[in-house]
Amino acid sequence: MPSARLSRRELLEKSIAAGVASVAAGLTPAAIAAAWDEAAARPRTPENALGPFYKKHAPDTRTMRIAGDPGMPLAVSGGVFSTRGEALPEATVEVWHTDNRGRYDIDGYRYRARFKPAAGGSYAFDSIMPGHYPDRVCQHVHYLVTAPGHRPLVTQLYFATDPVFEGDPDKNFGRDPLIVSRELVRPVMLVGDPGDVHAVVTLDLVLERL
Amino acid sequence: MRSGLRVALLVSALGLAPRFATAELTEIGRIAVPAEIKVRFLLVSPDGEQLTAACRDRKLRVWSLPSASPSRLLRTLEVDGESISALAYSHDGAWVGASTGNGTVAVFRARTGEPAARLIIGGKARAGLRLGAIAISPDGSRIAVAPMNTPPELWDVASAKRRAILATSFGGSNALDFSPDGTRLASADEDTTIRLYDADGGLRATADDLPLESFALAFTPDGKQLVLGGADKRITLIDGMTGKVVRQLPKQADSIAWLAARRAGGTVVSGSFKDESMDLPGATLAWALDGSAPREISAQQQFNGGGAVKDGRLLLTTMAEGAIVVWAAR
Repeated sequence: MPSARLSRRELLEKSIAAGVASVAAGLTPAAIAAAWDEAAARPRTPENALGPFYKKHAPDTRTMRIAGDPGMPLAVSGGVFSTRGEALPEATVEVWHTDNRGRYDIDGYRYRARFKPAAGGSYAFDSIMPGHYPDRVCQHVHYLVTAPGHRPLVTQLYFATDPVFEGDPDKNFGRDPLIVSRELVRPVMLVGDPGDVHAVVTLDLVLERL
Repeated sequence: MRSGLRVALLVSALGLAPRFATAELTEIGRIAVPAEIKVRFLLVSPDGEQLTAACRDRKLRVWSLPSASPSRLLRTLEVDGESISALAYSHDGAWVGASTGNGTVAVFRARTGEPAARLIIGGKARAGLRLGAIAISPDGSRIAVAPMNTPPELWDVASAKRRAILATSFGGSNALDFSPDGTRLASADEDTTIRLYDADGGLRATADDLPLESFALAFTPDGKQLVLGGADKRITLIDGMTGKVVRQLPKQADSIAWLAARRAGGTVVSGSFKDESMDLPGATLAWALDGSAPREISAQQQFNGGGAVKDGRLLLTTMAEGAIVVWAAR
């Protein structure tokens, strides 16, 4: 993965100037960079509704779960990228969801967080599996991802283990009319000891350039 | 709220009497609705003279409101497009419009039902392009619409052309309102910011000190202030020119879903929902804008489409089995 602070084109031009890369006759660095970009392109993460309970100024934390919180512990991770495949460590990720009974904390900031990805664009947070909010069919985690020079991404993460899908999210993801893409329903890996089971989920976040 | 009707209907079907907290609320009439007509939501005109119902058959039905004589069906208006998603009257009550779930808008002269405009937002009707809010300028020349998840837009009625895409940081808009003189447009956006525009869509001021979304907003009758209500469970007044917060009224138990400030003098009426679910109605309150505690009109009845003041009484509506019930509060 090239450095996020250097565009592919800049990296290629620098490599050619330094003599560590050469191009065949008839090819320009621009053409090669475009082909490189094309090969590395990633589809934008599908958008999903913001929902009615977004709250500004969430605390800067990656740990939303407090010891003793009811609900299955949940660990979510992934990477934040541009559609060109470049890591976006300068992004800001905001996440929020209900408690295990399906209630949003409107007065405070429980289960609300904002953070920056690591240098390579990876992110991770710990929380609990959200409950079912009465007005929604499925459990979900809201995301708002912003990065300079990129269109903000508003989306939601769903869980393939949600009872609503009856074990077949491919067939049943449309039971929640707000789930616009099967891609947002993520597999859940259960890890740990029988007395201490954690749910582990991954979701990459791909933003479109402005 | 769209699904709040279900609660009201359930209350009626179970034969439960609404538990009103004050004796000032009286039923002043019922409008019989034939079984084949399914009313989705309602809006009382600002002058309290008529009631427009958005129906499942994609038609608007307009009734006169009971006064000296009983209500009667005045007209039925055709709205092209998918299910009706929002209704609006202009501040002076001259125009009524409806938006749909696939990006179409229809505007009519409210007193005659004469079609005034049909717009297709985005140039082509598209499934899923739900317009969650609309506002009509008092002269009927401009319409603002709020497509779901994308910034609101300002359209010119005569040319059927878009004049401006209004800004949001992300997401769409929950509520729109033109000032009574038509010179300004306000939007309550999902990014929690309130934005004030001129009539051509030029951004003039913002209020971005609210951490939570406002679900409703309304200019005061003099246009000097803008009243906001939303997830923070309180009424906030901001200056209608600068966007600066003027006053916040005492916080209540429930999130505010709708507001009616028109022709209500120094009073604003709010409807609300419980934290547990947007389907659970909260209290309906009358707020004095001087900052005193609000007065409860009802603890849990789901009113819809009310708020107009006529003959010194506040008109509110609910749904019942086979009827629209019209209430008046003093």
